[in-house]
Amino acid sequence: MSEATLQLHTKLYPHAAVKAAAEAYADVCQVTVGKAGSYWQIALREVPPDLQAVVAHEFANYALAEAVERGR
Amino acid sequence: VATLALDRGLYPLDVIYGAAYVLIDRAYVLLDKAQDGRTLVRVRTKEPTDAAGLEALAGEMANELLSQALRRKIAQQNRPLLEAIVTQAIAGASGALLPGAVDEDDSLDFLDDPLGIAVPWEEKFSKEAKKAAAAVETTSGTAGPGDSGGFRPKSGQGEP
Repeated sequence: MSEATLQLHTKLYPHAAVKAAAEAYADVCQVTVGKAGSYWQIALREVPPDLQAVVAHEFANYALAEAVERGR
Repeated sequence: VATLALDRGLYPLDVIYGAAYVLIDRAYVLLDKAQDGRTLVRVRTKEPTDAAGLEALAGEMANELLSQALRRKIAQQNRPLLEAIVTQAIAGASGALLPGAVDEDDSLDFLDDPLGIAVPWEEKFSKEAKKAAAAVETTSGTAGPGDSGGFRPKSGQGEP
């Protein structure tokens, strides 16, 4: 188990989109969302080894898809 | 990773969203803000690829951005027409009629009788008309005992 971190800009990724992604990934790993300046600080802990390389990217894609769908 | 720096005036956020959404199944797309206000789009292929593959992905993203920008412009140009069509459709479905939608014919009034079926009151109820009707009735047959004055078939009716 390992950890990955991610920064998403608050003006590009609405809070609802990040929250939805965090809820979706709660079954995969432990997700913590914080805010630092203009960025959401996302920490993904206890990531399964086979997902370690992609989990942050997949989380970002998921949040982006949520942002697009909520913006329609 | 290929990075595109996009001017907000040329590529609004919904255009960037639309283009990113198209590629999201094949690539990892991360949006960010540059210090100068431009929007940064970082794309990375999901499958391992070389520099040429990455460049092709970036080019596809740039093309998709242009496509989305054009679609947005056309949608904005057609918005008044779409709104008019939808308004008319909703008004028609709800039974309301728009002014001028129906060609109202005000040339007819209640005295007009285009089918020729109206009977003037004077003709129908005048004393002369009643007398004439009574004369016709008396000549058609002679009243006898038990004649109630109701419907009476013409004499000879049914005979050859």
